Amino acid sequence: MRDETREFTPAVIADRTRAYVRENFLYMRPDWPLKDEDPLFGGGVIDSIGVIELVGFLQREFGCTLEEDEITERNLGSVAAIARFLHAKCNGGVRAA
Amino acid sequence: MQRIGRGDIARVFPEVIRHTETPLVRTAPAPLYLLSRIVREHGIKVVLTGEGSDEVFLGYDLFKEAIIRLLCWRRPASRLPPRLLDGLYPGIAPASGKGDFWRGYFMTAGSPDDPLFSHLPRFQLTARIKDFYAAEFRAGLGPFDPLAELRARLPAGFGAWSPLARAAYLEITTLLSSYLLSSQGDRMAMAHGVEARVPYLDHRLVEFAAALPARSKLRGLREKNILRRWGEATGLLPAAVARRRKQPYRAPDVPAFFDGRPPEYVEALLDPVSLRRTGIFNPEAVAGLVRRCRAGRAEGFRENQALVAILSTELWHREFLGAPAPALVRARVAGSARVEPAPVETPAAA
Repeated sequence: MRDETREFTPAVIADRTRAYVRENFLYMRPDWPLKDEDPLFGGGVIDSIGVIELVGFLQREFGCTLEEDEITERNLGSVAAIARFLHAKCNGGVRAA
Repeated sequence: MQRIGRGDIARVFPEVIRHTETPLVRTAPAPLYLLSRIVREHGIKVVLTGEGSDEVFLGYDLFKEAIIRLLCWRRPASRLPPRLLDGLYPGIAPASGKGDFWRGYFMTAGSPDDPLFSHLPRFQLTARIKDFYAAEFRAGLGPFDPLAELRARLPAGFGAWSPLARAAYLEITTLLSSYLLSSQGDRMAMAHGVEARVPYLDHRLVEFAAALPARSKLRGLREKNILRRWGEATGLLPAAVARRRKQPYRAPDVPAFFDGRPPEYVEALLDPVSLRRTGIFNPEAVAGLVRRCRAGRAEGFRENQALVAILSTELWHREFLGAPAPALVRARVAGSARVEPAPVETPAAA
């Protein structure tokens, strides 16, 4: 969708995702120490409904379409994993929207 | 047929809390409060209700969930148990993707060695309400660990019971007696002078059901099997009813208060000054929740139950521990005049 897809470096993806997670899932715990490698799901930051919300955000923000089989702990399990996965996916052009 | 809408729930919620005399994490008692009023208006003083049948005959999804989670632990490589979980919660699972999140949520809750295994997902989810506590209030709780207290209160030999017997015991002692029979049952019925009788909790029936093997109650993933078969064989239930999937009783939580502009009392209760005066919840955290409620984004269990917990705790605190805020009194009087023309008997007067 967006032309600037290729401009999203892993650091930018991580920054925006971290900010989004803090604002929408950790607004009640600003003291929560969220490091980029911390688990988002097992750690209880995001619940099962939150996954849908997070996927929606990632698709809107970074202009990629996530396939059903890509919505996994390995790809989206932490801020760092999301940055790695989306950067590779968007820049590789594989199934990018 | 009587329709009870979202606005009705919000309107009577302060009266509901006056009768429960305890905070809630669901609005589900509110429609029963309204139902009880309708029953009373029809001149009926005694009703039979089905409370207990899901605990005694293993009707709840929680029992199936516990069995499937056990399967996941025993056969971690099998792809079947996660698919069974998807089937158990079709409203949530498909939308969350076929990924491993769904399974992860249940798998990280705790191991089968924990006597509270069946209930750990629920307990942990409900505990997230504490994220909204004010820092000083949380600090005041210190090392208080309600799950450790619950484990310490379990009967001797509990660990040797079957997983389903343990789950049923926990369900009966933690949810049925204090919440379903009291907050949602007796107190809502008696608010209007209606007596609810519970034939499924007749001690002879409970003893009979407890002596049955688990598989005659939960057969595969078919809940209340013996009851269904009996109902169908005796012709007391049409086959379509005897065979249909159980439909959980639910009431809207966040949408009950945020379908449009919330009632005046809700805004008054969630006001930072008011919250700070009570001192239990963190006003900034609540402001974040309110923002998401207004935007229609507070859709998960966590935020739905957090909102109900916060509102009901604030109502309860004012009703029983502190002088009601003037704005709240005004709102309640206005609300009561609309929905409750007759004076309500309060438990304190009985």
